[in-house]
Amino acid sequence: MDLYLSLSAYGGVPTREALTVFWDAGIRHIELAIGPKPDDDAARAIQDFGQQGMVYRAHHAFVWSDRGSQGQSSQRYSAHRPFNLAQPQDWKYFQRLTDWLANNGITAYSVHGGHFPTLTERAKAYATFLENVHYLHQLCQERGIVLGVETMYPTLPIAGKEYLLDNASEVAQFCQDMPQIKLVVDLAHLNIWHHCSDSSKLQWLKLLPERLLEIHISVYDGRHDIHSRITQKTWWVSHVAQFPTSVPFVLESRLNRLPVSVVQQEYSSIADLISVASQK
Amino acid sequence: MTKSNSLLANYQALVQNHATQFDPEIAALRQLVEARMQEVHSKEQALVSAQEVELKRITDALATDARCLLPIPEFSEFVQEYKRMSRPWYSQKSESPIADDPTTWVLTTLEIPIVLTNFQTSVDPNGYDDERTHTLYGYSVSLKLGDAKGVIEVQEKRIYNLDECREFSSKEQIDFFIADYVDDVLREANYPLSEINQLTAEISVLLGYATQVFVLKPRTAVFEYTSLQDD
Repeated sequence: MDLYLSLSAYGGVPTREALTVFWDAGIRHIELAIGPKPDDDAARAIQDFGQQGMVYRAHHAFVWSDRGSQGQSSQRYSAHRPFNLAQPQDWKYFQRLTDWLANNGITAYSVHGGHFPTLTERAKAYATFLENVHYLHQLCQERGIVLGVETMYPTLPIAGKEYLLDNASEVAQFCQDMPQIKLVVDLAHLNIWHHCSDSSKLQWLKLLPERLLEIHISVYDGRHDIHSRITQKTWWVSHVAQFPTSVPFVLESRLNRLPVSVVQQEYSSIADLISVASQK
Repeated sequence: MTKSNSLLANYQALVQNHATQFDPEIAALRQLVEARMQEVHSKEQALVSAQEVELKRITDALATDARCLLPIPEFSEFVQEYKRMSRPWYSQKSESPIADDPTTWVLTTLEIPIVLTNFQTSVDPNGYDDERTHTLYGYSVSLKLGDAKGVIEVQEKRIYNLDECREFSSKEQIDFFIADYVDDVLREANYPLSEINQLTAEISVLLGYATQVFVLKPRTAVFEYTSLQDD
């Protein structure tokens, strides 16, 4: 069973520094994500470690290096571009992004459900999201990349925005509307689907394995969007034996500034934890 | 065309005339203010030092046992305000009711002190959430209960850009951040599970108020003056 470590687990430092920590911790499966400090060296660092054997997936607005749009074609600059798939997109950017993924042999890319301002029309945002995901899927498919969409979570009323795919019925609708798109099940996000029982949340892991791109793990323990570390108290831990064995996991717990030994220990203990599923 | 006949010449002469007349007056005024402020600072020094001594006495008291805050009226007001604020609707933990009068709280029965030390504020220019980067403002404080201890890290504010800022209220700081750390320390201290929820609720509110005490600074004299502008 593959366990990837997200770059969001070690943010606030340049990509090369985070990858060096992961490499020194013996970790070879990485998900590119938000977190590293954007710099001109990001893409080179990713490529350098890739040549040494690092295996990558990519998630949402990950940090890389973009060649820029018109007039900047010769200039490479650091890129972390937030985007919201419930709104119209700059498709030239996504063409460059998916080209870069393909050129670097990265074959799995996942995005968030889009978001829309509270009190505006959810149905309209959802329709735009479907159109965008459809187009992004075409871009990915042409380049041999598998696309996934992540389950999101309900926000606080004061947040001023709501995520699409923040509840079970909309995720079910999405699976019906877009059967060609895989799902990323984020167990920390599902923890705050407040009207669902644990068993109904775990049903999402019982989809056919070919419908699941990956499983994101960390803890939102009733708090805000804080990826804390998994403990024996974490809601899904006692159910891990029921998890699918062929779907990769992505660990997103924050380990910022911790030494290599602690990163190694955390990764190993989670790898041991999820290995229970493959021993069933 | 000669320089003196340039389009800007008359204006530049007037500016020069103004500078000659008024710059010395402004410089003299600045010197006067600086001299007077030095006098004020000398006069206030005793009172500022006395405040520093008093604040040190307060932080020493918190480092001895933060329950010293329980009887003060400001803490009672804080408790009332905390109870009035709405609870995050998605929180999964049942809320333990806390009594209006803190001197009757369960934590008064603890035989070991609640020790709070090492309060520090922090700024992280490289903060990030699931989608965007931000500058993160927060603080940390050490909590010790007998042999059990933990560093409590709290987020206060995320600034995404010049127009967008997310601040966490006192209640959010207590419920989102402080309570989970306190819960961990109480478990480490092996308190009975039947008491942990109540003690977590009480100690978290106490700690939430203590952080407002830690940030107190001596009041000093400050002179601020802005010239009235026509535009």
